[in-house]
Amino acid sequence: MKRALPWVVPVVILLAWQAASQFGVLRDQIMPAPTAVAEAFWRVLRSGELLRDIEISTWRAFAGFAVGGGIGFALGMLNGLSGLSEKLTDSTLQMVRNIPHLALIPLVILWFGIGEEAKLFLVALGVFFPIYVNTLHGVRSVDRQLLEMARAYGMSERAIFWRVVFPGALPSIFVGLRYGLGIMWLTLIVAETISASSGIGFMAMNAREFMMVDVVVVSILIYALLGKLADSIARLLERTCLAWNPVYADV
Amino acid sequence: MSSASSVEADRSYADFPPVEDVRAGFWHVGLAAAATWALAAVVIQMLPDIDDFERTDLLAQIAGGIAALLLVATLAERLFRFTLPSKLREQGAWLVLISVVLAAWELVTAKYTILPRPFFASPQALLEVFTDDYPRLWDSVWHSVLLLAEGYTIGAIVGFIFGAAVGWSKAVGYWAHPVLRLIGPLPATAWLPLAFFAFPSSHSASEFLIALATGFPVTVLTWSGVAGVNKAYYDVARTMGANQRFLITKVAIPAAMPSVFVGLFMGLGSSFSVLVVAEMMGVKSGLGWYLQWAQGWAAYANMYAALLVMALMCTGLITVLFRLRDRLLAWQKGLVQW
Amino acid sequence: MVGNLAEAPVLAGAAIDVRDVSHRFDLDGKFLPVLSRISLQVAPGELVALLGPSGCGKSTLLRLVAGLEPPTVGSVKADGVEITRPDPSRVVMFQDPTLYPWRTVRANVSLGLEARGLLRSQGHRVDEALQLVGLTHFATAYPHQLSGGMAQRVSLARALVNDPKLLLLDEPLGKLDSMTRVSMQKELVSLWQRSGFTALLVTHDVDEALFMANRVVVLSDRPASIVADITIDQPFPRHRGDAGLTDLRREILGLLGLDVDW
Ligand SMILES: Nc1ncnc2c1ncn2[C@@H]1O[C@H](COP(=O)(O)OP(=O)(O)O)[C@@H](O)[C@H]1O
Ligand SMILES: [Mg+2]
Repeated sequence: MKRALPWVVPVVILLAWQAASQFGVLRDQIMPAPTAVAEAFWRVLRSGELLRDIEISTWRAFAGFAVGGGIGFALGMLNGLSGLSEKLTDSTLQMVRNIPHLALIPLVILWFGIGEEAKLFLVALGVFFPIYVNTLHGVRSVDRQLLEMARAYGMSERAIFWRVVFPGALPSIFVGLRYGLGIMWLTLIVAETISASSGIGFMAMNAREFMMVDVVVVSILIYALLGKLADSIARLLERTCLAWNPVYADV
Repeated sequence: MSSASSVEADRSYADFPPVEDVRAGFWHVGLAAAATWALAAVVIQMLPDIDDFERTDLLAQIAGGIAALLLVATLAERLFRFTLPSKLREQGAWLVLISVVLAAWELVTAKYTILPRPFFASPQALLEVFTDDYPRLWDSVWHSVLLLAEGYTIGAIVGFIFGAAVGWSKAVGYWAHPVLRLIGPLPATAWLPLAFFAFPSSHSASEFLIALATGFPVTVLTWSGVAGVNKAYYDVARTMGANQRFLITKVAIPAAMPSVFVGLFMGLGSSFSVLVVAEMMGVKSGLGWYLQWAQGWAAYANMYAALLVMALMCTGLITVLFRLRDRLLAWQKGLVQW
Repeated sequence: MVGNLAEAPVLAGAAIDVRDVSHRFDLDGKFLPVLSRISLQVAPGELVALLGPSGCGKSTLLRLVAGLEPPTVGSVKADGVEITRPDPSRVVMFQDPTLYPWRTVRANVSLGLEARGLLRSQGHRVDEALQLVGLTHFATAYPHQLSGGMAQRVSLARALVNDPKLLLLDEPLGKLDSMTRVSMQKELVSLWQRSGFTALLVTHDVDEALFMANRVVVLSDRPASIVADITIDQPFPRHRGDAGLTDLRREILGLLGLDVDW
């Protein structure tokens, strides 16, 4: 009973929404009824369109994430460990960071056309910064005393990296990871909306052209679901990887 | 006795060595920067362009002008024995680097086209955008700032009030929690297609989206800030006769401010993204629209110019927020300030 | 200038009457009994030390007297009136100074007056309180710029500005270094002698209790009940070596289950 209570509000909203549509308070062009949304969901699911679009969007999201996140992680580690590398690249990166990456869409379209590269590039760019910044920060905030102790015990540099630096930086890296996942979906939605011929964003855009608001709502829900799923996976990973950390111990 | 105490005195002086001449020496880096800027000016002016660029001369003049200013400043400092602002002196290495990058960029674009032509714009082409298209560019900046300011202010205020309510009142938190959890993972951009349907104008739709992008992180961080206030702070105020209102405005909110500012920064970052996209898709004004307009004409130089302006705008706004934070949260810093 | 706060008591201290109080906490459905049938009368102007093992419920008792929480069973009265809510006439000083880091020292001391809307009319009392604890020069400093002892002094000034009839001290010197602690013990005693408020002092330091209090109330392990109520007749100022105190010290340590061999 206690656990069900918080869901009263969403359910009431849903019912009120349905009623409002039924009695014509909400026009269908603005907000279709929940039942209409459910129908639309069933329709696109049956036609196979939805699964294909989910598949392609997911592929784009994770491919872009792997590229951007990988580079961000590597560069963050490098700059965290080497002062020279940081001096060379960090301030340039910090300057570029201030441009919202979505502003590059027109440029990216001119460069790559509306092919897959454009979307991968945008997602990778968007994901790069949070991962880079948090990895760098994580390496920087590794306890100095632990490092000195490891040196005093004669650990090799390699062992120090894997046993001290990396685990120490991990909590911060996870923060970046989860932030990056958010940005990944945000970017993909826009990229697919503006320039694509497949994917969920395209489905929404296409539906908008044909005034099928119910499909638009379906696509938003799908995005919410995918976003939630990715975040949950990241949390799970975080919890298993950071079980030693007191902050996560009681979760 | 007296000799012993004078030894003591000597020793205590030894702890503080006599103050050296604090005037900085000759600004060698400044002179070097003058030289590299002059070199850049020569490269721009003397080497032939690959094509007729309108603003090559102006660019060379600007580079030369900077070189001359640096030379005068460096020498005058020496001759008239005053000290240049240390801020400027610290940037010396950057001044050198910028001139070198400018010259290199000039060489690989305008002079030898090592970088493929339409994709990469030359410095003088950028300069031309600023000299010739500035009314449109300026107008776009103005519209962007206006839209951003409206949406951001609304989002920040609503998010702050909502977050404070959620953090303060168990009842509000109880009901709001699942709603926030539901909407939370959905990026503001996902609402784009729907917002343009649901709102009467694309302007109000964009405002809503920016407010949403700002409001969400502000809500969450105000909430966690208020909820995380040390309970002993409340006890102290309560024993001294504080009422609810005092506890909220004078204890909970000031204590939550550092966290609120984290939310404001995150909100600012994501509101930039939403602003640009909203301008591209709906509102036909602002820098996002300018970028898309430039895309339509394949006007690379305009696009780079607009991106540069956007970077400056975003950096400027973030800096303003930083200043505001440093002012309001001065108590947090380890700085002595009486 | 210092007059109002420091000179002859205008307000006498409050009389406290704790009668048959028991208290328990609800920890996820399981009850944790903390106080068991505590009865304690404190006369106006007394300084009573509550001594007991860590975690036995001393702070809890203090919170009940402050009115921060209602007792599960029993009644707590101040001057014959039931205590139902916190009141500025009964101020608590905690083990941590709990200064607000976003307020300057002066603004922290002003807290009570500001909360009651008296700052405009009685602001001068803030300066008097600061002078009393010797921190006039730090009025514009922020808490992070103070040492532990200074911060605790500010906390004391913040309490005194309210002209309390009852000062509830919850191990106020517990975290200070031993030198600062001894000097603040002296200051607190002379302040109490001058101002005439009633004080309840929670401590786990037997010497502190013996040095400062009229009476020492020894509590048992949790759930706490009163094991002994010992009156100390020694005049102030006391000295640590006083013959009567050494015997009392041994007695109290024995009551706490710590037999001393030295
Ligand atoms: N708000 C609370 N909720 C639950 N348990 C509490 C609470 N406050 C204190 N306790 C418990 O009550 C017991 C007594 O605490 P306290 O009065 O602070 O002891 P002390 O004598 O050290 O001051 C402790 O075991 C503590 O864990
Ligand atoms: Mg305690």
